[in-house]
Amino acid sequence: MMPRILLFISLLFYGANAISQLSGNNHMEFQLGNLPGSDPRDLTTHYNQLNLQYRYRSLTAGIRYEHFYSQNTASSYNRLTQYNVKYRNKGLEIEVGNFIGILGNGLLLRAYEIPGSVFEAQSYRSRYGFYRDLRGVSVKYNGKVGYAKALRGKTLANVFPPLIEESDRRPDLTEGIETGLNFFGQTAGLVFMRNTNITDQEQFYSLLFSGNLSAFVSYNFEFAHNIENQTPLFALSEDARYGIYSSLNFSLGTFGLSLEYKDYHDLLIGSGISDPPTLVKEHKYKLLNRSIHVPQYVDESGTQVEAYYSFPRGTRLLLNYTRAVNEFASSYVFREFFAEIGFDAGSRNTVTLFADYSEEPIRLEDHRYTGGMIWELELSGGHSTLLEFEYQAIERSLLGGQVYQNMVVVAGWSKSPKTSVSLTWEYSTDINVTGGDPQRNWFGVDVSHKIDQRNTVTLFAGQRRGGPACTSGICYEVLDFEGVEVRLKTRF
Amino acid sequence: MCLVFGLQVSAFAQQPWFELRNLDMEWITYEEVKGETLTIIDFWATWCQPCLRSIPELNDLYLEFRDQGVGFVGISIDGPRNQSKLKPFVNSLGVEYPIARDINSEVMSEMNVYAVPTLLILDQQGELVFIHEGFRPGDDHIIREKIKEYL
Repeated sequence: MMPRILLFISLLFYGANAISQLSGNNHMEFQLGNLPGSDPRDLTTHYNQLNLQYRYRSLTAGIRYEHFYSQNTASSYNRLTQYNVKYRNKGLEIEVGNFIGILGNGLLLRAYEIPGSVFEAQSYRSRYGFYRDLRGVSVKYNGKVGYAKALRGKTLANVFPPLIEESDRRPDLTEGIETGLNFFGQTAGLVFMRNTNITDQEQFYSLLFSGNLSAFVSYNFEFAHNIENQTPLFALSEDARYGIYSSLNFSLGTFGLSLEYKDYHDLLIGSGISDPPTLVKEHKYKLLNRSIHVPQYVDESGTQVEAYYSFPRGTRLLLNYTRAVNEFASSYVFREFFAEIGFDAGSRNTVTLFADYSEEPIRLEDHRYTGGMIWELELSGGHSTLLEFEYQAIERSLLGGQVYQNMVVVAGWSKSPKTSVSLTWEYSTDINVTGGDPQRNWFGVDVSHKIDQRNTVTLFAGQRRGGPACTSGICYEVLDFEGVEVRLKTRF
Repeated sequence: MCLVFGLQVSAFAQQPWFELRNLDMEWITYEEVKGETLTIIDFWATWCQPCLRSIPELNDLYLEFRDQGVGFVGISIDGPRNQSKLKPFVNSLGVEYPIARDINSEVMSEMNVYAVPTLLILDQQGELVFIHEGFRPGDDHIIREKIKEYL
């Protein structure tokens, strides 16, 4: 019997030779080191993530296997963390297993993945892939006249590492449907979502409108609200749970303008399955990214205005104004003004300058001034250099108006397309991170080398400053690290 | 085992397939944007500093090679927080090639891309022939040479 089955499978795959395909990637990370001041200083850890995909015609099957080893065996694990079968054909997509997705603009649900990122939970000291997926079933259809999607799955609470039982990592059962109709360049949609966990069952609906008003102007609007017997469906009262998001965008020539408004009230759903647009500038500069305002979905309203202009000779200007209000026992008003200009200085120099002023009372930061520059120089033979400088001064009146400083200096060299080296020095007098010392320094070196088209190795040695970080709109906490880290990324 | 089963182990990433919304929220597919000979896919984001510098250079390459059977598409991995900025941002840079929105980085994951910017050059069969991560001054010369090499 077994030989016949093998023969059948062989013929099936042989016949599908030209269209069946196995691909994947592997991410290996080795660390020798620890949180500064923690024992042992030479903690050895190893993380590995293997992703395999097999495709046959319109069918794709995939798995993710994660492994973490630590001298502290309580945080070690080996786990098949994802499995998935997907069918796609002419606008139809059916997924069974682990999947990611979004309802509307994310006011009610956003499951995501940040490819290549590894997260470490401080309380567990365990590392794992950074994603928030659902495990269940998803069906989507996209057509010319409209679209529809339906999903049902257990949502991952990604604060828990895979060493926790899967049933405990997925406390929420999320069910949702969304449908939309396209007409004359506009789309109108409707969402219904129910989330159930051990303590509660929450139901929401959402109305969606988006489209182009002219060749220059487009808009997006979403109104989400809970469904409950006691609360009218459109109530904006204190006991209602709702979210309003709207944007208006304008483009003319090389001038662009984005205007956004938000009003979120009691929009923390389940274990935190939603991800509404934050309307806060997502900064690429280290100090600003670390200082980013984290929205409070219990109550937050505000606006964001961002403008772009490109001058004829390639100079780019960006201006951003953000205002966010949190109404708790009292009002906390966050404000930020940001400006950036990038230009070519001669044929081989590229310079970017930025300046930022913020007020963040919820973090007791009355005035925060940040500025800096990035200078890149193209040399001959594919070589280039980079110099980055950032400086920040923070005034906290509750601490006697004392001014704290942060600084980053990065010097880099690269030989494209294979090798790059950078040295980073960070300096701070902020008492939140100096641990009682008048100042603290972090020195680190990063080396990256593309061995070939399939393999890239990176090395970090030294001290890495942790703190809040945001990537692809998702904010999380990065831990300090002191030691050596080697990463190998492989595609196959 | 692969030989027994006649299974093709892909060169790097899975052959492309995507259906994403463009800047005007219309659906576009890989089939619609691919070139007759080569296809350039650039993964980028509005918050990515090197992407900002690479996009005008890629637009120049698009204007140079679009009549030679080379298709270009930029795939933005911006999440919901930056969706509103995408269209005015792209238009201010004068980008002429199509831009698609990969709001949950799903296509990025499926194509085994880890970082932005990452540029892929795919041949006529959709096989990946060149991958370039990051963008430093002068990288446009390397990309231009690679396009010419594979044309």
